[in-house]
Amino acid sequence: MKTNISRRDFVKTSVAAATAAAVGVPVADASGDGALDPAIAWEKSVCRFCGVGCGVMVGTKDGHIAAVKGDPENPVNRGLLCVKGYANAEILYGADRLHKPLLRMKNGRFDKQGDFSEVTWERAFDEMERQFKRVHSELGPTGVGIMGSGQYTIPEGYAAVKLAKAGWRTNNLDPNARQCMASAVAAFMQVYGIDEPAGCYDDIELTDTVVTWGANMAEMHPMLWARVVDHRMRTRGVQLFNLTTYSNRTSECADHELIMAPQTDLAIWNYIAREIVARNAVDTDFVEAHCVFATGPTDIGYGMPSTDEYAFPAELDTLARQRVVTLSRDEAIAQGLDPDEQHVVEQKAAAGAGAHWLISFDEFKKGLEPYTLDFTAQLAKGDPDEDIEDFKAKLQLLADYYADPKRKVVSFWTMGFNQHTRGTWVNEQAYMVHLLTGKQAKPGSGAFSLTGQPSACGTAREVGTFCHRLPSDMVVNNAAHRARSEEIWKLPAKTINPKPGSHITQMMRDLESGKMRWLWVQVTNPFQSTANANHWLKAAREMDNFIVVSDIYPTYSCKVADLILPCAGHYEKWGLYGNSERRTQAWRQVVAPPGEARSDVWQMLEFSKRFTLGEVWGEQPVQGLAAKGFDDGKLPDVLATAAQLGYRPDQTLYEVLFATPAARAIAWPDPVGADHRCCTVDAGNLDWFPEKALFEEYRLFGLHHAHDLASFDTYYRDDVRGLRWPVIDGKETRWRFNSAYDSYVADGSEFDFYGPALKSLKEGTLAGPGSGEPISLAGKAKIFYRPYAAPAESPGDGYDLWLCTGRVLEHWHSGSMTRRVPELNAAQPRAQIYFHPADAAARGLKRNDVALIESRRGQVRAVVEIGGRDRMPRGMVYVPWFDEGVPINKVTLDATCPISKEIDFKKCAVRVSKA
Amino acid sequence: MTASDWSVSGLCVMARHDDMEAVEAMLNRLPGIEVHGRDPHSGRLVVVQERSSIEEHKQGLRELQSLPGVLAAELVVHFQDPEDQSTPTTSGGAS
Repeated sequence: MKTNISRRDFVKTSVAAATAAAVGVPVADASGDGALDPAIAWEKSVCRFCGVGCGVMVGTKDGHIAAVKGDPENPVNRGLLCVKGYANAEILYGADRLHKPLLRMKNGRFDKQGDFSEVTWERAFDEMERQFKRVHSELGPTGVGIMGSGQYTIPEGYAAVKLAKAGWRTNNLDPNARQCMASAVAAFMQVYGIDEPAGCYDDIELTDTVVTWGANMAEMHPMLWARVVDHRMRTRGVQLFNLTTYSNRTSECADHELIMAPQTDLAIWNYIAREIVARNAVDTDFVEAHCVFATGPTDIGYGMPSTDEYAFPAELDTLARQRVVTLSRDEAIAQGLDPDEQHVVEQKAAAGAGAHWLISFDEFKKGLEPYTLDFTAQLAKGDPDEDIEDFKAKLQLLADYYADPKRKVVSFWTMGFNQHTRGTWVNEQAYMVHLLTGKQAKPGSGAFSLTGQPSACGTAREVGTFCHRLPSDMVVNNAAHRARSEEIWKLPAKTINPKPGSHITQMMRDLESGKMRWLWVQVTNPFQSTANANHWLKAAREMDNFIVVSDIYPTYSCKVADLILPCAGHYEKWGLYGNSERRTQAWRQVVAPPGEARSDVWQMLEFSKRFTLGEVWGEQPVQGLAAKGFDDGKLPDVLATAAQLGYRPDQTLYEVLFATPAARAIAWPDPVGADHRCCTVDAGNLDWFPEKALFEEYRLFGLHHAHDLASFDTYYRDDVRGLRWPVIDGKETRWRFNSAYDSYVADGSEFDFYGPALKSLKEGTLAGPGSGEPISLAGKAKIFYRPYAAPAESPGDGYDLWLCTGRVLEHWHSGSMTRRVPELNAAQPRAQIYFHPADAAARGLKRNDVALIESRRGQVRAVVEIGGRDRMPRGMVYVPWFDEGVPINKVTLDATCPISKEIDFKKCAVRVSKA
Repeated sequence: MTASDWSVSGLCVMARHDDMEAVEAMLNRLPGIEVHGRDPHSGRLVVVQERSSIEEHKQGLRELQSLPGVLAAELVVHFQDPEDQSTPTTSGGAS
């Protein structure tokens, strides 16, 4: 049909009106967006991508998603979307969507060396079950595992926790969120005793100062950055300060940019704290009433394997630093040691890196003493071409902002802090400065950890899909937490394994060493995203491991799998996500999944039918298990206790864990789903509503435990655009720990850091804990002293450049969704290596040449970019990781923060030459 | 541009207060770009862009982002005329 001119004018006016309504700008002719196409049915939803949690209106017509737009009612993004947000519809419609299960076959049988063939779900589960039971009978519960995701919906993550921990009695369940914000979690637990930020996005419009540390918000959290820039424009005196290791798009709108050398954020924070103390800018009333001082061991290694057994020869020198470190001159100064002496330090605390103890304020000050302006500036200046005096002036200005008692400050960070071999420390240092100045848990002031995934908070953290966790911040190695979980789950006592499982990188190492041989990958792409990937690719393809990958597209991980299961995409199923500011948001299924694609919830429920209690709840070997009430090295047979609860050994995990009487009472059809389908119900031919049943049961963990969520139906109400927990009497909480906003604060206190974990400590000095009895710290937050420590690997010995990895605006994570969107792919078709012009010229490289990037661990090729959005200082290159054609994680180092076990993807040494 | 691939996007462009007039004038000179609304208080301009493919919309957005005086530009709505074609460009289909 020809589109005539008057029709075009009408459409343009309508689009202008819709845009204006979304962003709150008046236009002359506001006819409203309803005029666009009355046949489109609009439904509130949530963006599939990052942790900001933007509201998306999804428009469907004839069973397809016909349009998406920003949700003007959603307070997070107020109608705006970034380029990825707009792609929420298109990511479901890539040409290579998986429609059927695929199994590697030869001559009609599973064969690891065979090609992928389409099979029925029945055949897929048969092989999955056969392989599981083979491995389980040989290795016990630790021989199997699940790699999960911060992109799990809340019901999906909860189903995975229950299946693994209550059913299979394995704690080998860990999310990709381990590589995203585990350092933030560890710091929240150590500082506050409870996870997740005190403040919320409202701080943006209430603050005077936004400082971004290792967070390129303009590209990675564009809609929050739009709010920051908007506030900066509207409000006189607001200042934006970007601390980064290279110049990026966030710098373009910032008032100040500070280019720091990798890892020196640790020193900069201590310089700021030293200035605050020296200028008498400590908020003494706040600190004395609500804080204590603490520190921990420094000889904690780098989270690398403790054995050389599987190392490539070239890796041995870096790996040796796991056991013994010769301190650099800067490290010696930073730790108050004589820099003219050699300090060879055995890394004795590597296995107990999270230990900590109380210190006095005087000891704290003593720790900060070396971090003078001169020392910090020479260590931290990241651009060799910048004048040191200019750099010092920036450091002083930064300290001015934090120290000024009249200035409100918000510090934002993401992967620059979290993906860091001292990630937990540097998170804690942010709280150190905010607590010292009383700029925490107050409107407009706070240290705020942003997340990278849509439900890193809501699912990975709150549901507890980590190898050491249970729901609501509980942990498997705490007897009371296990007992409470067993009570809610109606399990026999001692069903839950008290020994934490393998974190996601350790699971990769376990596949290589043969300790774990059956793996189910859900909603993630770990063979592209885990550092030092050559080891893991070998483990997947060349060893006797069975790898199952559930996904919507044939990702890099699918290609090394043995069985691929096709999944429903986000708007093809029911779900809830929790964003960075504790906001839980929900959406309904609006279209059906294609072909035989099924929801992850259905997959777990269906697979759980393959296990009887007799197979998994008998005595099980668990190597290294040592816990009070358990025999060493094994889990007890709980079938007799199970019988007392009314369970029979021939009952399946499906009946006991999922289709419980309480769950089946939540019937489908349900009024909340009127005029909607549920693909889990459809595929299972069910008369109950699994997603709602899972959520309502999960909610029991948090009620009256400072993690209160509203009912499932509440989140689906038309007038609700998510709620920030704890939700008490229907009211959300914007600033936790603050009596004016948080009803969990004890009566009579202005602030109460009531998190219960790790709140009993011994006193000691910077050198170590004393021998006294532990002291209770109820209600207090900890101000940690943490020193500068050198990276696990630095340029030198033939590898002369820093390599930093990360994302780009157009692509999200491994690109498995965004690379299927033609316009995003056209905008950023391949990963490039970003160079400083002088570094490129010195290697005979010019723009668009192909460069060979080599490390001790592997090599890849990438096209050279010299100008562009990221402007590198001399000595550093940047390669994003979205492109499976440039698998940069073959090059990166799998060193982790020893406390959080999160990989440092931001620092390793490479050499680059013309390919 | 043919009828079948004509589509419109609505963009929000942010400019510094002092630059708003100049930015608006510059935008109105660009082919396929019209300014439909402005809010001097917030520095926001409502811009409509006509293009013949989604790639062109993205390219146009990037060009706006790089214009002098433009602090930020974001896509708010993309619309393909339903009387013309009822779904966005997709290479597959849901059942």
